[in-house]
Amino acid sequence: MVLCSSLLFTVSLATAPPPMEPTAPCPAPARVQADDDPADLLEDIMDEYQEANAELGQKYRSADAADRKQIIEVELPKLSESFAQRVLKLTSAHRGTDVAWDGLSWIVGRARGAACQGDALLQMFKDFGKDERIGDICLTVARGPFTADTVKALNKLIKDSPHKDVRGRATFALAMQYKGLEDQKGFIKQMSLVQKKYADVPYTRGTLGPVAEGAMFEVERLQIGMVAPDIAGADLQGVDFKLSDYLGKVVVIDFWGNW
Amino acid sequence: MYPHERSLVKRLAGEPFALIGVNSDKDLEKLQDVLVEENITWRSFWNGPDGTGGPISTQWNVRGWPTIYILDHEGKIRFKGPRGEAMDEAVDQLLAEMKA
Repeated sequence: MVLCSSLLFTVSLATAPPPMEPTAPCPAPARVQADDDPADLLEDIMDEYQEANAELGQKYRSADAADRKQIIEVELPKLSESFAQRVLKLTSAHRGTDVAWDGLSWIVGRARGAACQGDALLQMFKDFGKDERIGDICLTVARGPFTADTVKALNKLIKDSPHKDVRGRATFALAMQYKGLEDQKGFIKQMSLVQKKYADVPYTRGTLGPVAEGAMFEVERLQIGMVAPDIAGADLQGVDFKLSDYLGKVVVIDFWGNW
Repeated sequence: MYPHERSLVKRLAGEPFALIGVNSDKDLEKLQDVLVEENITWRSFWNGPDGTGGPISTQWNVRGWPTIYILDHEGKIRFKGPRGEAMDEAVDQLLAEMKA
């Protein structure tokens, strides 16, 4: 557990937020004074965040186990939240602009544990519902947090978006939201839609089709109390066998690898 | 992880128990040395040359390694995920149930 969190932490410390690509024109922001340029303001906040994050990383590396736990569980989320709040204030003042997109993307994708991630997400869906880039955000949303507001926002996105890829990814995210909320009927309904209508929509690797199939199989066949589906294959010496050969015994199935 | 599994398999030798792996190493040849070095005596399916993208883990929607399922003697899924001591306890409970 400690190893796991420290890895996460190191990664989040070591990597700068990805530079945002220049994007298609959005409604132009009102002309502003150079020193009030929202893009510069966002950059300043990001620089400050980098510095604070690096400092916390330094502290983490020289801390003992108990302090490390405190840093991961309390100080890091607190840091994320305080910067996310500042970014959200900025994006709220410049809604629908490229700066708002960049700032909200940062909160949703990078500000781990920040309480205002949900607010940022809703603002994003509301202001960028027709934007094709919102599809990437849907894949983040599929991993949680799971809330009724997110379900509502995804439903609206599916209705409004002119882009098939966005609708497909949003439908997938909606299914995963239902799964997280333990609404099995909702999950199956949406995931079947993904299989029927959006199987060819790109996922992080490959397409949504196989991912949907796996997720459906898990919910329909791999729940506690169900008889496990049989596995047939060759062992590491090339001899064929089946999981069902072991009926009558208590069996631990261990998906493992030597890495 | 190997030491724990080794001791579990050793402790339950002679009991109606089996540890079945699904191995997701891409290179089966290289793995042979590991089996000997680590004294991995339990049987594993090979997930194929695509490694973690292989057919068994894809069907079972496995997204993390290791992933654990524990089945009772009737083949029913009874636990998902327990490792270490929790794995031992789960197995012992199912063995006791079986004999009751």
